[in-house]
Amino acid sequence: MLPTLGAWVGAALAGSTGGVAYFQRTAPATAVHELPHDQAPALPLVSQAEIAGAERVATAIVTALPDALSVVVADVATGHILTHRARSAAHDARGATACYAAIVRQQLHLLEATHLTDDAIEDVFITLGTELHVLKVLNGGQMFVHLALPRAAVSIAIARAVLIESAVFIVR
Amino acid sequence: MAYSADSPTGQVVQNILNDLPGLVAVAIVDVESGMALASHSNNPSFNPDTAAAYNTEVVRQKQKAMQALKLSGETIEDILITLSSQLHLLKLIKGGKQFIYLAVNARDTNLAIARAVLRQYADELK
Repeated sequence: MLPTLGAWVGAALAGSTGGVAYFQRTAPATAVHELPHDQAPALPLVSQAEIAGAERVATAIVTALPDALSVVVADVATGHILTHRARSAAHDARGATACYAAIVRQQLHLLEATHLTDDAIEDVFITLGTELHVLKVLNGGQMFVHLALPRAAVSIAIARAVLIESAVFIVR
Repeated sequence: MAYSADSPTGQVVQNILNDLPGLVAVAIVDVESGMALASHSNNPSFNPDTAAAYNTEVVRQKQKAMQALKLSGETIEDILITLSSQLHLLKLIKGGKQFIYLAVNARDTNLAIARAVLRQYADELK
């Protein structure tokens, strides 16, 4: 990854913890060629209202699911993190969030390639040995939530219900 | 029909079709190549091989994300994708080297049924 892009993601993380609230496009146009995925994304200009919406979504989720291991709200096109909560302070979500954004983009491509153009992605549940990971697409496919839960504590049905409820907090 | 009922993978595709005759598509996919070893679609506009290729990338990205999070003790068991009108399930088998891919209409089959069917056949392919 280009250092400029790394610095930009770093700024996004700093913003999510309460500092800067407006992210500008700082990476040069060439940076898009370095990104792992096909669609060259336009780096987003994220408003304070969108970040506040993302914060409310994250708060609603951790309040309803106190067992959650981590919650990330991010931009689909870039993998840019809007807000991030984790149990462990050492949890670094940047690399993983880029992969999750790629998963959502792959699903959007799949819908096109298989002529499912009337369908939208609701959510993606990934069952691991002891953890349950959920990707919930918000805002018509522009943003997503990634939630990690211990499998022993929360069922898919509860996690899905909480995510559907929390989605109302997002700014359209 | 893109499978031979003589091969073990083709047999599993046939068995899943017998259990869920209304399914949209089913495939057994090799993660390394993204290619289907056996596949079947009941919807002419839904190409299971194309869907398999895209979903392989989903599996790979998830495996990468787990490396980034240093979740080394964990393996992916399954991935459930809910669309507005369809459910797509990926059940990983053979230590993550292959997966069974199943697409069903959400109004015909619920998640619990689809998952139970896949679990059963995943054991057969072990």
